[in-house]
Amino acid sequence: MVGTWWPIAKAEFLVRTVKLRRARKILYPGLIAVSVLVVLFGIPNIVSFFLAAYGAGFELLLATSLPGLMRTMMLVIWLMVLIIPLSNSLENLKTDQWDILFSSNVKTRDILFGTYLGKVPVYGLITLVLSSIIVAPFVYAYNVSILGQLLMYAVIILFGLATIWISNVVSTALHAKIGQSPRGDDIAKALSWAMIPIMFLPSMAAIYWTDSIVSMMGLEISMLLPSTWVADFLTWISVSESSLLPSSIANILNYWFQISPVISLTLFCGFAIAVYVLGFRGADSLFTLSSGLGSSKVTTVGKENIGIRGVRRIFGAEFGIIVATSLKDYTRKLQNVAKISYATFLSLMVPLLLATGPLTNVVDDPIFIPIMSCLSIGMMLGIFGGVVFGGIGLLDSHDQLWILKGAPGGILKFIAARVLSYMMLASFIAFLPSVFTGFLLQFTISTTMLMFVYIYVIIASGIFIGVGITAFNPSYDDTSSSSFTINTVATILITMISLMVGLIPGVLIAITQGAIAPALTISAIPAPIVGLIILCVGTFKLNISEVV
Amino acid sequence: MARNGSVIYTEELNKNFGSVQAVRNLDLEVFSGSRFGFLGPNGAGKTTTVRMLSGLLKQTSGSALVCGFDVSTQRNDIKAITGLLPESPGLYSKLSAVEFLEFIGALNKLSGESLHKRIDALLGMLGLEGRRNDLLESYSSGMKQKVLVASTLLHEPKLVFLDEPTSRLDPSASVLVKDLILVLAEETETSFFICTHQTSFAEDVCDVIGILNDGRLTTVGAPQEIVDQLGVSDLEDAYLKIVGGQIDREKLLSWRQ
Repeated sequence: MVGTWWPIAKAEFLVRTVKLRRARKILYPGLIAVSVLVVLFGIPNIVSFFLAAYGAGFELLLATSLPGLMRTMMLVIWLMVLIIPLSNSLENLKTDQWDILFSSNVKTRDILFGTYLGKVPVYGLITLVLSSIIVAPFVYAYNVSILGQLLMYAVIILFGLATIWISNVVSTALHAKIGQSPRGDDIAKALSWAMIPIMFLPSMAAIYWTDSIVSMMGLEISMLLPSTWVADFLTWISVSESSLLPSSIANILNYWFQISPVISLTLFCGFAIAVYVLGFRGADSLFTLSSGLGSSKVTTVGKENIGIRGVRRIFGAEFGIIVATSLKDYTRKLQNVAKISYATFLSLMVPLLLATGPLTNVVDDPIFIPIMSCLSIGMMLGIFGGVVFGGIGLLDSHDQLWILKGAPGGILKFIAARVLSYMMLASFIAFLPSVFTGFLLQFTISTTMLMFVYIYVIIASGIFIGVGITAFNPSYDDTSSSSFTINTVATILITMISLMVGLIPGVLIAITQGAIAPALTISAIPAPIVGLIILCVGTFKLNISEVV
Repeated sequence: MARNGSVIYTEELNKNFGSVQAVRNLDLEVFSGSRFGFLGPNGAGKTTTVRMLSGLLKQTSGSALVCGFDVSTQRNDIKAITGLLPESPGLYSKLSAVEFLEFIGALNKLSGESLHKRIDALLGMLGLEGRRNDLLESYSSGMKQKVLVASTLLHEPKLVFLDEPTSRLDPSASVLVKDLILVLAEETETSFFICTHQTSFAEDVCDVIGILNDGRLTTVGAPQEIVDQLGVSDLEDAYLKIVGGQIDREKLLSWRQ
């Protein structure tokens, strides 16, 4: 008889492939077949087509630098396979199924193994497709044999499976420690946002700020990462199974390999065995529902700060309460704070990149750099404004909507208060990168102020667009809903298009007339107009809509 | 169509959702100061009726007056003098009870000292004074229901729609809500329109009962009148006789074979 892990794996698989629904039995094998075709023929041909366009010189350069590139790409793929399932599972914190499982006398390690096995068909397929992007340049540069390619895919898939296992263990342990409650849900969502910068940005920054990817990845420190062991072993397979001359193979191995491929393989196998053993052995102690991160902590609100008291005074007795409530509700959610911090952090990276990256030699340009900074930070924060303040930030549930609709003019007051409170928060988000950029790139005070105004207008436009779209098609607190996906894509696209419409004449003015103020003014005009129209349409629709 | 003394008056009220007819030809009159109990199985159309009468949903056809206002054209007037307790709590998890009630008060044009006095009194009466400044995310479902009851009564509505008011409450809190309804109806002429599955609650609190089945109002009358008419011992038996749902013992065990 099959163990209790089997029905758990089956349920997990059904949840992960819910979009295929009833046609799952046909569509999933079809998806595998398409993926295999894409991996074996599609991606290698596309990669070869593009790489061939650069000529023989580039091919030689590629052949010599590929081992270093492999370490970088494996690091990126490793982090993606680790973070994406972790981040997804934290977005939807659910532990109430565990009560059912534990009451059915299921062992913790069966839950762990079952959920892992259920995730493998989906994330394994993603790993396979991603891995073909790594394998294809090797096939092109080294002319790797079919056996070599199959071995490379096998190693990458094994590595992917071990990574999915780590992700599964960590996410299950986090779910158990956080616990399912409104506060726990908020903590988990905040963590899901924090995962991306914590794990991705250091590697991205390392890639950007080094003079050469190759030299960076040759550093000894990268040898501590499992992704490097796998990358080196893959390099060894590809050169061993290539049409290269033995002397070329020896040169590559001597230049790149600090440790022998056998040690890399041993380290990788040891790593994989260790993560499986540790996961199973730690199952019972890790996965006891404990609400350890304070998910059931009772928070008592204190006296209102001067800012909130000021808001009440400015907006009058009744509307002031609604605006103040909106500010409190939004800023007390950890997930919102995490999103705003993430957006601000990314916007601070722009001037850093301009000041210390490859554009350092043009930093003194009095027109190019201010315009470039404003447009890139504006574009980034405009899109973030829409996604962070629209989306799931607007309305929590149908029932909340009923309460608002139950009051005379409730929806209009609510949306107006939400937008005003978001615009207040936007001033802080616009202020930090403007001042930081002005200071770092030595802008004049007037240029810094212009930058602040431009960025603020663009964030406000993003807010209008995001709130308007969410009001038009509420997604409530459900990030797995189709409404949420549609709203997010629509918000990003509309914000980008409306920014681009202004950006083109703005840049032309900057180039032809060399004037910053007119260029930024022209660039900033279309987005708020589009945003206000969408906001009005969305509010009107929400006001008259019938929610069942 | 305005009627003296009635707070709800409907004629041939219908609501369709696509091909599903949720409410069929509803003719109903509820008098001022009365406590009308709306009984019916899940999906019978009770919540849809409440949402139409409180100005949240448009009827497909027919007409209705609520407190003398037309549900088709005077929705904001209806919202201003009615209160609605929804079926499940849609509270703001990151607000305290006081902050949430302040918010609801502001939506209903209340503010200042009078609002705060009213909030303090309601929270005290519902036994929440010790938790008034705690975030609602830490409240139990019963406590959340009490906050919702307070939010519904905050602006002293003339007519209160209650959708399953005691489904999450413990027996003592249920008694408190029951007494609150009775005293408000008797002392302040507030009218109540209560959707519930709990026949005992309806029997204790309501002076008129309407039973809705498959979108159609099948029975209206005083609880004892309905019981006597059908020749049964209590309202639960009367409800089961009208709606169906009694299954014999043999059938109850048939799934084991």
